[in-house]
Amino acid sequence: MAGPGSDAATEDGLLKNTYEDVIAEGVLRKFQLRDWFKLKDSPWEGGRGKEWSAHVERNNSPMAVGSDSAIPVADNQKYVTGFITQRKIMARWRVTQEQLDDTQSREGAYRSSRTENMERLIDDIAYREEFYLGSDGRGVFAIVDATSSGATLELNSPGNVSSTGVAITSAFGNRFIKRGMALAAINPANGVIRTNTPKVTAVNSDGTDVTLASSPSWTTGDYVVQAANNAVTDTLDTAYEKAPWGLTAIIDDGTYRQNYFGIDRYLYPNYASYVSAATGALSFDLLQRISDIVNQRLDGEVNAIASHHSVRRVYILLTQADRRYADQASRMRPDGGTAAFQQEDLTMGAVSYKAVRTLPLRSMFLLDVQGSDLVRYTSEKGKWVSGTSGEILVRDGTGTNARHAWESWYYKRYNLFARNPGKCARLDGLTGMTFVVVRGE
Amino acid sequence: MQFGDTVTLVNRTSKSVLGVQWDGVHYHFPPGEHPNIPIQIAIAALKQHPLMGSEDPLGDPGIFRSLFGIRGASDPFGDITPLEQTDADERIDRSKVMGVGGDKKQVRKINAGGPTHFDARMGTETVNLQDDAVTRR
Repeated sequence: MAGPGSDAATEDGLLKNTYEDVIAEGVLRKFQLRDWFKLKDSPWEGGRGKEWSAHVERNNSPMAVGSDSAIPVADNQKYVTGFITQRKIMARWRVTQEQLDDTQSREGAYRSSRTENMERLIDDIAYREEFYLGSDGRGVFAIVDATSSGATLELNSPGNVSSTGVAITSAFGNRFIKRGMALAAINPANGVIRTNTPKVTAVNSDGTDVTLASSPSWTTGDYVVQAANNAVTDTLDTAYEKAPWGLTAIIDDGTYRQNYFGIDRYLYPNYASYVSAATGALSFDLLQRISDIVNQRLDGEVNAIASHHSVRRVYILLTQADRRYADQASRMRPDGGTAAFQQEDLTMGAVSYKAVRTLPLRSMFLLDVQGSDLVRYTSEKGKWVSGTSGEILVRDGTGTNARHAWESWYYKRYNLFARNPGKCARLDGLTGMTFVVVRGE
Repeated sequence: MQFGDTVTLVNRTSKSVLGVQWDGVHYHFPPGEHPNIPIQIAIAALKQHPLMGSEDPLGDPGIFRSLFGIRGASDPFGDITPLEQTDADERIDRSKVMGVGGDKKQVRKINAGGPTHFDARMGTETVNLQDDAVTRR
């Protein structure tokens, strides 16, 4: 039996902790949609907005004529002008003087609070941007479902993408909402805020609802958006209609945006994308048809496909029957996976297929990236709001509200735009079904 | 038709309340006639509720049978006789697909399933099961 002596148990009070040099990253920092879309940046000169001119109709006078026959009446080109406006995203951080002081040294903290928070806030904006870039610019998280009761807010149509015909348990209406957010409800008929903007206390595991700090008493069908705080009474203080326009607004036929930056898509359908609603099962026959339609409409050439991962799984099944017709080398060493296993792009006739986690469920976007001329008009790529002396940490409060604390604000201001959205297409209402051609059977 | 025109939209089904989305707004139309509907919304209703399996895969993508009709419109959208949804799985009429894709013996239907809740959530954030249990109690 070992006798008494020094060991880790008897002299625990002598030992110190040692520390890792880094903080393990447990928060998502890769932003698929933002990183995939290398949009052309276009300058913004301020003023009322960027006026753009849309060529909506040709001169229809050309006609075959005979000797001395009447020639057609004169016609002319037709144009309509519209306005592109800017959208702003802001984020905010508050810190006490003590926290700044006590995290200055490596002995006292893994990293300085200032560095950590200011760097990561920019990532956090990017995280919210992922939602905006996949949606229609209204900032709508979901729609209030009729089954809501008390403080439990049942939701459908995440991102304002209709989930009509889909059971609420499969609609995943709470997919974009985070715990701690304040929410507001907007009457879709007039854009006016309803009373009550409670905070989210839980995002529930069945995907259908969130629990609020108090019963909101909102109306079935209301838009649910983010509010600046839990005492908001004005639509101005919500995210409603303030987000940059995302793919569902730009690649659209009017389902989400009838007024395309001043051009009425009902009157001028060439500024509407081809949208197949209630598409149902996916098949190669269907994809070829869509490619043919956009090419025949406006000479569109699909060179990128994007969808949610769940739709890409359907696409992978489509290719399954063909993969056994591989060359000998592949047959000798069969590989059950596709490039999607490494989260690389699949291809459809050399067109890359990107899965993006924030895109609408049950939809697929077929893009002519060059032909549609996707651009981003940017008045501010992103910067800290500075005080009168250029400082970005500003004293918090004055008078009786004064505290020894600091605040900093970060903002970005831009909007996305496609000069020719009619060269793109969207499939809505895809189901999990595929029709696979099984050759030779 | 001029801007601001309205039409009588007919939900041709006998039981289904059909949802329509236009300019971001969701509308719901029970079976029967609905007068004074703006023409843009009526056309969206027609497009968003095709009779599954009725679209000619080689034809005009704007021509298909719809669960909605517009009273007085030209064919095929002026048809407001009763109609129920089919059990077809896709919008296009597969029997009109050319080549092997139209051969029933060589085409197999596979269900890849739909999105899951895990799919739908963004990133790595989990839900709080304890909160959920409290809510459901």
